[in-house]
Amino acid sequence: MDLPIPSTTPEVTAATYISIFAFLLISMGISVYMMRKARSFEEWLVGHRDIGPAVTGFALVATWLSGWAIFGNAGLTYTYGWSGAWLVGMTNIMGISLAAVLGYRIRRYASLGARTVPEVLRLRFNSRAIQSLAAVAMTILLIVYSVGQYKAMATVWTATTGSSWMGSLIAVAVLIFIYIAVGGYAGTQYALFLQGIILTIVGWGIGIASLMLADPQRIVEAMSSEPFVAPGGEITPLSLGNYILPISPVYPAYDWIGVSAVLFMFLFMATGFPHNIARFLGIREIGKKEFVILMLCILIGSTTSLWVGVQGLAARTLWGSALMNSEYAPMFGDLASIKLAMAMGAPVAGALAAGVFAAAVSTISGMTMIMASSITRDLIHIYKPEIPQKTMLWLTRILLIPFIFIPLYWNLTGAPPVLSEFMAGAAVGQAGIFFFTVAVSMYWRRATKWGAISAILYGLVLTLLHPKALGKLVGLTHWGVWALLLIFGCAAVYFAVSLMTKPEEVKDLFS
Amino acid sequence: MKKIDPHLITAAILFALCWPLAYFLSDWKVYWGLWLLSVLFALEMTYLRLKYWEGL
Repeated sequence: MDLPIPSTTPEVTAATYISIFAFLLISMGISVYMMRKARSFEEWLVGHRDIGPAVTGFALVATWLSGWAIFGNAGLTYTYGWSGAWLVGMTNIMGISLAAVLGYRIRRYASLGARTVPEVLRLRFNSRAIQSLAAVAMTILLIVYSVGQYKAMATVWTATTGSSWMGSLIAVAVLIFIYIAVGGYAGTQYALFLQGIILTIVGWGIGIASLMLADPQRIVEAMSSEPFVAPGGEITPLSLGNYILPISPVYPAYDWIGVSAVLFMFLFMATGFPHNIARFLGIREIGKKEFVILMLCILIGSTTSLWVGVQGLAARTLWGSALMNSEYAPMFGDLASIKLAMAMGAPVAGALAAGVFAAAVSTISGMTMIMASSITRDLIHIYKPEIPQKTMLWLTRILLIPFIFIPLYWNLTGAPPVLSEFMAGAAVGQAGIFFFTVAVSMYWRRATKWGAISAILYGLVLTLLHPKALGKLVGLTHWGVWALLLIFGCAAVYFAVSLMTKPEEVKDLFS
Repeated sequence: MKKIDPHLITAAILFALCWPLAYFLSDWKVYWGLWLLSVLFALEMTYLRLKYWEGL
């Protein structure tokens, strides 16, 4: 062991407070400025639809790279070695580039009045039922996904300030509530831009420094001799040196079926994430050169997740499996990134804290906005359009409270041991359901509302049958089989039912 | 029948190459090899979007 595992020091705590509050101050400044500009519910949701390519690009990076990518990825490679790298998303750029290319068309729906992703579906299929169903499905899946974001930020807060787990979770929840309630979409869109840049710089910087600290060749040697240790300290004889780690079928990299499922999940999930694709609702019309700028921002930003994976490999090389001991529960290997940053010095730890906070806050704010506005806009407003806009705005703000509280409670009562592995469950659901019903439907004229509704229902049922949820009841114990059944099952149901049902008259949104 | 754009086929091939690359190579070669395939895939996607450019 070259470096002792660092403990919390007053310098690290001070650096964390300073960096997070500086970050919050700037973000809040942007949000308050935008709040003064947002005079209606619609403006609060999508701003003035005048946002440029760089802002949209890095905002997309910020919502895409959540606590999973900027923080959980280090926990994955620390815990599982090379085989953990599948969930790091070595191919995540494929998915996010596909999302950027397909998602741009959503602007056409925004020009027709769509302000949320379920509204895009209503316009596409001329059906209020599908708008409401999509809103419910999104809300359920996003609640699960939010749990991981809280764990990421609360872990950093606990490690750097020495606060209790509960105290850290509550602090994170309060900050998120204030942050979103004040600014709305435009506030979050510009603040997301800032957050995307911060997390890119922090992720790349600490990743490259970690690689130099641990040495690439030493990492290879360490991974070939380090064994898999379960959270809690149970040591196994399994080596971390391969891209397949035979732990149990519920782990995505158990075999090539699981690996295949991960590759398809990353290909589809960026487009399937409503909080990602919603970034295009506020973009202005851009030219070809500007689109290239947008893609460049995405390429640079999305590589960050791999640099975070490098941090976990470096931490495992330096400290062995020490972080898997029960004294580090419930954080375990997810501490790898922040402990490494603390070993590099208080300013680096402060910078990472700001980066993780940026990632967690940006994704949570994007998702919480989607959930709250799904209820008001997609479940209430479509049936009661006479409710004044001002009332809707306040109702949406009030609804932020339960959507912030539920994942908070989940983390208090049963925080997931490896956050990225946990979040992959909800990610598969979103990938399978919304890639086809939203993205493909924007391009495939023959899609029908019955095809889309069937796919959503099928995806929700399969999500419940996750191997760690109800899957065991029906013999679904293999993560890869479950994920492939969900993704391609949604595809099969969507295409088959669409082709079997009567073609619908659709607006000219396809040329 | 509409002809499939060769760049779309190239993108599909780049995605399909993920499996042999991971199966036959090891450690950093897989880690950064898959990243490289992803970047090439993204370039193909960007090219396709620019070729079939659409405004509003």
